Amino acid sequence: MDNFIEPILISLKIASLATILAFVIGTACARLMTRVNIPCKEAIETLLTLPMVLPPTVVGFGLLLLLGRNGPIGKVLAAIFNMQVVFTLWGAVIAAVVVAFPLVYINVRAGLEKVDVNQERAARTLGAGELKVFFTITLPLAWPGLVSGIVLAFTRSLGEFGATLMVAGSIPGQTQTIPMAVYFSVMNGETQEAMPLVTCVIVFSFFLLFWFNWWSRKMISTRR
Amino acid sequence: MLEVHFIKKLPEFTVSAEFSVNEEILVLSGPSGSGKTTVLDCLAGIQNPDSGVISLNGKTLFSSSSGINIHPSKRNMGYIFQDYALFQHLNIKDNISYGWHKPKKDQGELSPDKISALLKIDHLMERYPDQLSGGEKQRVAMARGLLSTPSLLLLDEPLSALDKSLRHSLRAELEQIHHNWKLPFVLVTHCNMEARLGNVILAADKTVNDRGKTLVSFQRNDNILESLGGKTLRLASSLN
Repeated sequence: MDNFIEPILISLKIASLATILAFVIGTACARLMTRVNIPCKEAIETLLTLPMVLPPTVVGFGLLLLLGRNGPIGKVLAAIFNMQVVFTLWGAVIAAVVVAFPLVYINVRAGLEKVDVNQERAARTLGAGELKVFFTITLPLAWPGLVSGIVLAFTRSLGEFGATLMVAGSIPGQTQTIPMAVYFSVMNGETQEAMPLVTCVIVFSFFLLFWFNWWSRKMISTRR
Repeated sequence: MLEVHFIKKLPEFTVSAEFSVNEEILVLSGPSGSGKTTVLDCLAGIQNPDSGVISLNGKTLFSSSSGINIHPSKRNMGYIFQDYALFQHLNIKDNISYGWHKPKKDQGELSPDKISALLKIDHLMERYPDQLSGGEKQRVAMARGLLSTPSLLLLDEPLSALDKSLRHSLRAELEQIHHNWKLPFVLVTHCNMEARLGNVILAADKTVNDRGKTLVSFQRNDNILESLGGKTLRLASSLN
């Protein structure tokens, strides 16, 4: 029973952390890209969304190079925090953030672009500073884009396999997520062990998607 | 008193504004595309002039020479947008209260309840902007602007989106508000009926210089204004 619950908890932990991080970073980047004029905007944007089209193992390989003991980021983390992220939960979180980020970025950006500038301007003339405008007007008006971004990022993080395996491995009780547990059960010829996990994931995903579709239809009908 | 003296370059032409406003209704009139809204945007701080000075009651809001540019939130100007720009995601009560600071002691001052009763929108408080008619939206926008206790109100074509019968009653209400609050208005319009609200009307004056550049100016020159039954008028003929 333990090895059935454990991968679920690890998956939920990684996916939640990754969604929060990807959401904050993705929203900040989307806001920056819609408001600020920077040179090479298109190139930066392409680079940011690249993990979406790359094979996950390629992303994982790149992350290993960056985060590994001899990688530039790995060295810095080791020197400052005495921290090693490869083959840890944080490695899995970073892998999930990188693959989920483009989904947040694209959806939030689309949401922000639909926000009526005049409503933001009106808020300013009513005495609201930039932070208040962003949190009370811009974000609520971009809400549909934010929710799509969050849902897609969460499901993408839950399903992440390739990059996570490369960066975090599949250590039972530490980094073994649902997809890993399923894969290795089957590989070891223990198909029956994978059944409850697979059922769990299908039921959960069904309800999430069902809710999301219902919610989007409701949003479309209430907003003209 | 609002004092304005600036130049703003647009892709097609340059707008120049030179006027002052006391406790009165100043109308900027001119055809669409003559830069009227640009002038309002510059006053509110939504757009920035290329050069010049804007000051309100002695406080400099914008000055190109000394690098002053006060954020719109600190300019203390109410702005009634042409499309009203009501917050879609908030109900009417939250819309009108957005810029309102609840006073520590109730001294019979402005409150959302009072102003909504005054503007006859108190039955709409729980609704959303989507569910309002044009006239109702206009009243809500006024209530929201007034509750932020501005020292001056900017109005962009406040009546043009409304049908005829509504226009007349709202016009009277605008005059009433101006009178009761002793609040200066700067109103922009292309419609003569709306322009008649004004104590002073500045018509867009379009000139083309010898290099082919177009300049549209809104200039107040009290010396050459004609006096017409207590109201000073400068007729909007130069552009037609």
